[in-house]
Amino acid sequence: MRTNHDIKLGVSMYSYQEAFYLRHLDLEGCLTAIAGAGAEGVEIFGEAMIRDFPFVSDEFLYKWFYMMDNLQLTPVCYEHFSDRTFWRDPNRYLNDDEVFDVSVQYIKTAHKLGCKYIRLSHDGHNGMFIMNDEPAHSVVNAEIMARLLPVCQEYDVMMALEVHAPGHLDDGGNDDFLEAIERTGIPYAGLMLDFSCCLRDDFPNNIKAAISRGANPDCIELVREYRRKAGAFKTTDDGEIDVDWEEMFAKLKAMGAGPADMAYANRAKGRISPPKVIKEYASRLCYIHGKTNWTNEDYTSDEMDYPLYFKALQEGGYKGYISTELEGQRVLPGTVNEVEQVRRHQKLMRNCLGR
Amino acid sequence: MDTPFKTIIRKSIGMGQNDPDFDKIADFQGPRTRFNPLILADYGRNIYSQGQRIGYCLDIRICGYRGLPINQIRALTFEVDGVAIPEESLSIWYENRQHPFADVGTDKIEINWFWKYGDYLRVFIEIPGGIEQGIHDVKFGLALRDHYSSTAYCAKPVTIV
Repeated sequence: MRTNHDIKLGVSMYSYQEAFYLRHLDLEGCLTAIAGAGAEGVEIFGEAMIRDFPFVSDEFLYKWFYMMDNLQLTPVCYEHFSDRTFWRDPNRYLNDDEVFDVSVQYIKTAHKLGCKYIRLSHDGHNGMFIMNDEPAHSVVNAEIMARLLPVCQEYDVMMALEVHAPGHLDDGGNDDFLEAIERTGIPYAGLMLDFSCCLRDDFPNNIKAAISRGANPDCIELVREYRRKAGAFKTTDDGEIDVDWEEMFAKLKAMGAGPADMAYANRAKGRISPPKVIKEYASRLCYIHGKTNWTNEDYTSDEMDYPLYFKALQEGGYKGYISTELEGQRVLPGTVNEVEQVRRHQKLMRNCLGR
Repeated sequence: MDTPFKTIIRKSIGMGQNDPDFDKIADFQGPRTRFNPLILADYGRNIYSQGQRIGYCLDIRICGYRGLPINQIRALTFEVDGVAIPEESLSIWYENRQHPFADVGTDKIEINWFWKYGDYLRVFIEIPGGIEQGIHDVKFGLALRDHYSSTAYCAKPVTIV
């Protein structure tokens, strides 16, 4: 259902990855699920859903636009990847020129699909962190992105620079990319938020998985209590978040916490982006991944304070799509109904927007 | 743009760094690898030539959320009924092509030949006499050389016909 709202809702088909993988839903089925959930925007993965990838046939495009029209959906984003490692020889990998060429192909395909954005696989994805700092595992760096800007301008496709936890919008981890955009003067790339930066609590499958790895449910509950406290953003006189993690670790130790508990606790104490940061950056964001692992039956979320963050996005002047990106199915494969989770998440977001 | 862009030095999370070789099942049983029963089919089959069994096949699917070039398969590691399968006896059968596993990750395979998302890729294990029809305990580890250095592990009974 197409709308004229400033904030539009979409769905990344990442959300239906398992249903698609198991052939429960084909592409038309996934798009029908998006329409049925009340969303209007679509994000597509070529590597998963375009049979002829890296090419896209005229036949595919004909069906694609028919389905968009019939279901009253809008293509929004095409996912980009830039792996370099295709050989056994660890010293052999794609150079920057080759990554540039591969990326140009994605931009052209996005244009053909009618998508105004590509989610760029870039080195600032995790802000000041990077998954692997070996050159072979670099993806698009600031230099390559700068070279892509004129191509994006020609095809009218914007590069969305996703910032995903443990990175944060304000951690400076995308300054090289932002400088490159400023220096070229071609505004065809911008920051993109992933809600992983805003998560304050865990979800049922992850808790089950932690317990299966040997974590003590009581220890998990203690950690969740501290994490939720951090997510309430109460501050001390010094402006620090009022959570004493050392106190939590002392309590865990007293409870006889083992390695699985400590691993769980260490992951939980990561920073959460406060709503004031989201509000500050909102008008500069070009796209948002509504990362979700679990939405409750009553359209509430434990893992994120949706009303607070949606208020921040609205007050900060965000205009664009927020696309559901369900990820909770990945922890325990075969246990989550993705269609139902996306439906709940869309309703939760509509409730926050007063629709 | 006469001066190069500054590059931020980012702190490595270490994903995929200092990994084991993934040449034995134990390498997949650490906390980094996710258990995923969906990557291995419940049924396999012996392969016959003129009435003689020459080996058997197991059907596997990629882990993660996208298809990848075949060349990005780093390791296919199997243990069948407690016995490790040597890599030298593995071949891949997919889209009417057959390659010994040794070809994967070399120029014998073009980098845009994709293992499509959700497709079963057939792995032929060459062993004269094949395997007895029946239920076998199969452990399977999959390691990829993608950006995330993805790995997956599964252990399940497989009915081999």
